[in-house]
Amino acid sequence: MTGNYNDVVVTSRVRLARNVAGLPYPYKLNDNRAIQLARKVYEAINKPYAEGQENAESNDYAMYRMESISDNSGDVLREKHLVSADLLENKKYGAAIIGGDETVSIMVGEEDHIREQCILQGFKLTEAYHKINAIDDAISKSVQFAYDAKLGYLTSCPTNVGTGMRASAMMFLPGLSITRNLEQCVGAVARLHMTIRGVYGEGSEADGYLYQISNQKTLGVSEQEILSSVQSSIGHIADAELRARDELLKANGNALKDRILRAYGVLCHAYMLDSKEFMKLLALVKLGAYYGLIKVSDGARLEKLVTDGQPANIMNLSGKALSGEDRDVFRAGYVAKTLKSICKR
Amino acid sequence: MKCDECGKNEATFHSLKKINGQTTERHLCSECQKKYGSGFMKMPDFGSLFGGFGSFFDEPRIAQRREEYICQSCGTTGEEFLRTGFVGCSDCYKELAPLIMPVVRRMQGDVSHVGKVPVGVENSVSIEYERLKKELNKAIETEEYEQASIIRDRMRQLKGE
Repeated sequence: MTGNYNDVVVTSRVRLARNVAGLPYPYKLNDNRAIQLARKVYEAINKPYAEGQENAESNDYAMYRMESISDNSGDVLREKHLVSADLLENKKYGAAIIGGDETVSIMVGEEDHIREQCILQGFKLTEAYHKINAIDDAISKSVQFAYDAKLGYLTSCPTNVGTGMRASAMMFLPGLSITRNLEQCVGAVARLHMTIRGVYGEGSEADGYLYQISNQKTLGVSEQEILSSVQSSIGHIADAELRARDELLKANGNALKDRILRAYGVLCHAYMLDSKEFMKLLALVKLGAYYGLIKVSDGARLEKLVTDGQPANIMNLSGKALSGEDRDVFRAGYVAKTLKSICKR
Repeated sequence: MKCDECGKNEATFHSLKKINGQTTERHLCSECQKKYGSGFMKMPDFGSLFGGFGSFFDEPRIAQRREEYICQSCGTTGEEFLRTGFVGCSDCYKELAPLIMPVVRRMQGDVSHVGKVPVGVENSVSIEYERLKKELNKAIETEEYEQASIIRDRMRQLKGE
């Protein structure tokens, strides 16, 4: 079985934390200045395109004020990792500026004044950095960032000073989780000043075996150095994961195939499906796709189903407010329909 | 007036401190003043004072004085910073430096910024670091390991390691 890192790395994300010189940080800023700042950032991002600069992308950025969007719309954005739970809590003065293709999102009024992030599908950390770096340059032409020669970009929490950069990857690690080799990996990357945590809770079976790995240090390292250290850690883990998947199949082939195809059967035919069961079974189907047990015509669509199946997103897709049980019925139907359109045994 | 500390000798040292709107008076004899220093504030027991919150960043060495720090720009106190882990504004990094810098050093190491510089700001350290980094890659590519180690040392120096 030969896999590549895109079978393991679901998304790559780079975020930059920035604050504005002379303005109290968001936790101390409870007035309209936060909203004014959001407008300024919004204009700054649209400016390069408006001025017809070379390489400027038209990306239809939209600004969402947390105060005026519904709870469910906010949760939809959170489940897509475009806004944080923290921003949703600080509703009144928070805003998010999100690109049309949903790869770039800029939160204003979260822990720091400005949190710029780019998420790309697959193992594309460098591309994600270049994209967000260009946006950071555009914003810095309109907004004077809080910056100190020794400490670099100043941030609300000292864990982010310096580059203000967090480079991370969301990794699908069923092999390491099932063979119980994940802890060893966590220890190894911790020595390289990296952090691993579950994306949805603890990262267990019911959480879809999804983990996020990111750099800890932000000061005394350049952006390029952060990128290469995170990339090499991702490489180590991905290699170990692919080996674990091979071993898993060799050691327990029949039982594993049975589990995968039973999961596929349930997802294609269940009448009700809660989000925990959905996450658990879809993870097995993804593993089945990796082994070639299930033929998938559109891998990105299968991956997108993880987000679509989350509570707020599934409700959004149904187009109406649904109670818990009705939501589970709709989820079961939606998942079955999607799988049948892209999967084949 | 007798000394607050020993209660025996006549107090010769008097201080008034206003913290969070509360005025604290301090009267010490010359012996006790020497013993505790002028910065000393008699506090009951920090464990019981802040124990309920649990400090986010325990810094026993400076814990005695953390209450005295307050940012003149945004009003964030040293205690607030140590409890929450957040500063209130950019000026806090200067105003509360004796509390913040040990935390930064412990989390990030005793190093300087070597990364990106905002558009329009000059930072020779970052520029030089970037230049050295390129030189280093070149030296490694051409297998000039001795040269690479010299460059690495200069990069460490720039960082302040």
